[in-house]
Amino acid sequence: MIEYIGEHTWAGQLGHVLAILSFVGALLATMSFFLGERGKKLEWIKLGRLGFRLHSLAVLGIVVMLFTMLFKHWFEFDYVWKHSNLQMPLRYIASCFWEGQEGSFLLWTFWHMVLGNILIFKAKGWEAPVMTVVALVQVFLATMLLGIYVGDFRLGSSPFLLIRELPENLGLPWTGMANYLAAIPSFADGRGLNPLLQNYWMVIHPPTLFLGFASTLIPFAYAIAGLWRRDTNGWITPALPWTYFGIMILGTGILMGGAWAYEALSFGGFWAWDPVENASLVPWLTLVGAGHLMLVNKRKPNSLFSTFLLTMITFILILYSTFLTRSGVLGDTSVHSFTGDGMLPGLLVFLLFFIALSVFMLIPNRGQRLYFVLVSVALLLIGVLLELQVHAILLFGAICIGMLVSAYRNAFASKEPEESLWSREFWLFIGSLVLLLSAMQITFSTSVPVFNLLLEPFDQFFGWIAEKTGSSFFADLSTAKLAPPGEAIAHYNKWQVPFAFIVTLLISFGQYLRWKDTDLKKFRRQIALSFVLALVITIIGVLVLQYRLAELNLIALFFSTTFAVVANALYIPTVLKGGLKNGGPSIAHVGFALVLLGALVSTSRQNEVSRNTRNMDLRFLNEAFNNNEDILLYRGDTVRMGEHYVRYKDKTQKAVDMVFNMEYFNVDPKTYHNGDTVRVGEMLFRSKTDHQAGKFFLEDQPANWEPLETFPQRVLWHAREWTSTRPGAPVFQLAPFVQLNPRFGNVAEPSTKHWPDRDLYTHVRYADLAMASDTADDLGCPTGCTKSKWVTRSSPHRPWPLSIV
Amino acid sequence: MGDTIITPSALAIIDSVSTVKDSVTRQMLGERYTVYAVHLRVRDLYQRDRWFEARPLVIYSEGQVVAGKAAELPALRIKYGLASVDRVAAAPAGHGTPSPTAEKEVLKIGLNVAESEFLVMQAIIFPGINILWIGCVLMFLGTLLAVVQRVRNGSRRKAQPKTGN
Repeated sequence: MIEYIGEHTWAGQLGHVLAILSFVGALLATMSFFLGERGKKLEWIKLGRLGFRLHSLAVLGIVVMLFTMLFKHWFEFDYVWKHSNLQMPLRYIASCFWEGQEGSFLLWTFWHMVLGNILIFKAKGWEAPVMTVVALVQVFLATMLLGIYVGDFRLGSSPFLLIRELPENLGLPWTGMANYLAAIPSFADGRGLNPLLQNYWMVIHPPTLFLGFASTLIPFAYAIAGLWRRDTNGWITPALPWTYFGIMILGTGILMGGAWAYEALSFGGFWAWDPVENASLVPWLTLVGAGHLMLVNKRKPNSLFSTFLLTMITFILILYSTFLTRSGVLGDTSVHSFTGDGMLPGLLVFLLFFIALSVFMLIPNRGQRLYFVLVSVALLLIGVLLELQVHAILLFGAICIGMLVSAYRNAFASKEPEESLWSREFWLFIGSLVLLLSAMQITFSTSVPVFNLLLEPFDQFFGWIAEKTGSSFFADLSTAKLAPPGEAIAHYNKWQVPFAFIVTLLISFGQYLRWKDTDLKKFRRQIALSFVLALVITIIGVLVLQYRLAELNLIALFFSTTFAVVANALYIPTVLKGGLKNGGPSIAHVGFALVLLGALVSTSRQNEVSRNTRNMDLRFLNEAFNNNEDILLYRGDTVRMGEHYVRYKDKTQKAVDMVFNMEYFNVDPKTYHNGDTVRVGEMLFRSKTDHQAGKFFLEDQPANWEPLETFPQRVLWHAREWTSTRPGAPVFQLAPFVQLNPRFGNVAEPSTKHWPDRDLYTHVRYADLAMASDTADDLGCPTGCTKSKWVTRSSPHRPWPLSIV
Repeated sequence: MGDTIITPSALAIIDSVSTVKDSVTRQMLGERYTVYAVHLRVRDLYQRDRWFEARPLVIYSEGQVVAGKAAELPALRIKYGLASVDRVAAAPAGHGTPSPTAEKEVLKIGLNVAESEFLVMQAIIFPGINILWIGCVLMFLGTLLAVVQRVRNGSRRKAQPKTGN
């Protein structure tokens, strides 16, 4: 046994013990709460609480240990070495904590633990069944952090692993050195957090988002509890506040992500329909649907099955998203997907188990339940033992769907009374359905890599069809190469704009409808004003923003969002009579509609004011550049751009950032004096008068300019072109920068000027990133000449210094 | 002679290499120094009829470069510098050497091309984006109000179990 010098072995061991303790505690809690619910025995419930507290303490212990390791820079631990280093500011240690796979699972576990403890106090009569589910989920999550081997199979991945214990390092000569920490220089400092993530958003966005994820577990647990007790709508009332809490936190988390992307990343906007973004949006949509169905069914159960389905599917979609983004199946289709790290089997089991549990609970009779369990276990065995995982999963999926249909027909359909067309519950139901469809469309498009995996076993079959029919679709299927949507943003927008239209339309009048049935006369009177106001605003909006008829879908969305804003805002004074106390839903609806309206206006009318006016084709630099969207600025040059003149003043290096200082000037009219010479095309003109330039030369010319008949060609080349304006007073400065990031690649970060009605968002796409770029080509440079103004290329075909795209 | 150097915006043709031997130069520098000049004809690649001339210099003293003077073309934002002029034995035709001639010796010149530093930037106007952020805040506040109201109603109902809602 080697005594390693300088290693904090005890910390790792303590961490491992705590991880096992958290697993055992969760398992104890699950079993005790389960028995407590079955036997209605308080003793078991008390033991369950004890188990959950043990689990909670262990989780807290793990969190504290991991923070300690990060703060103390114990680089012998893989997690610390990979995610932190000595240079980074301490305030970003929290970001290191959840940058990695294990840390983010820990964060998720932590929030579940917090919410579970609140439930122990608050759930009262529902405690035992609800906590059974919560603790069961914790068992799975605790497994993810165990990192122990069962045979050849590693269960989870521990953040307390020493680098020398990593499978790839086992048996390497240096692991036998007792003083390896001191002897090997790379252990002196960690690899560090990706500088891109050294940002305050990284401190607040993940905890918020994960609290949102965690809060979807509570409605799920209540739904399972309701089915367990066969109290099909009693669970809704206690689950409701949790559902809306989840909607609030998850929504905030998602939008924080959007704000981060907009403020600090150069995606060119706040939403890019990236798989990871979608993965958090989809459960939010279904959660909103579930929340609204709960409102309906709390009063009078009439769409219980859908309520269960949406509530359960929300949590399952969280698990699915976790699977999608963390198992590595997305491969390179996402800009920020995590790598596999062998998490795939564990995550898959996690996901499939909770799908099975949900279906099992929805099945009404014992016989069918038994049958379902047997078939599921058989499929599991087939999948694992015969290595026919994909076949087994597909079959399992088909059986689940069959079971759900049968459950609906046997247990729910007959109990669901017909609703009146003009009842609030009917339209809430429709709205939730639309949200589900919208969520399904996004999931479907995001899951293309998963479909390719699932279709792999049928390659030959599809190949055979393709051969017989000559269909390129089947040929694609047979090669398992369904491509994810190419123009992702356009693809999603095309589908989601109509969904958004329907949803916002429903939001606008939904609240004005009464439960059961509505007095249509009264309804029309109440809604008329909002409708007219929205119509007027839309007409003005269309004229101001110049929407064309071809953009009818956008005009429709403009109208429906405005309608939703106005109708919900007016709901408070007209129906609630100014009572803000109950105005929460209306305010939230106004907010939601404004988010969509803002997204619609800002993205559909975004305007690339940067246009290349220089004598160099930008495509020469890079194919991705567009002369109509990118501007080339020579240092020190002042160029017209949109409503301003812009000047690339200079660049400065601040730590890892290369900052480009850009000055913006007002646009002033240009004055010409008698005798000034200007060039227009291939002609020269001399001014006859002192005058202020108009908008167009042709308008100015007859009165103010006379053409020069003969002149040497050289004069033409050097004459200035006629312009109507000139730079005026400086108004503001922007400083977009490029983060020099040798390990992860350079990243351009934007700089934005905010006005009340619009933003000017700028980022550098291509620049010379060397500070002093001159190599003494100008040995006789007189004093005062700024050398670094020049970029030198010694031989004709040397590539450009550095480019970023 | 006749070699060309192409850069994204310009094409330069090496016209000739000469030593500068006028009396003023000689008087200023003395006999120890040799001044070489390269004559370049430069074509603007985006206005093909636009030609410029450039004449960068390099000063040698006893075989060592001591100074140089680059030629700047402000209209093209380009600068040509002469780094070296060497007499080398004629190699078989290859890269960097002028066209092979019968001469035993050829002139090999080192040229630096410098272009004014520039960057490519994208600037986008997002109109009405504040509507979106205001919406975010309202959505948060509204939902919060709704949650608080539900929790309050819930506890009130529990206090008076029979009143319903």
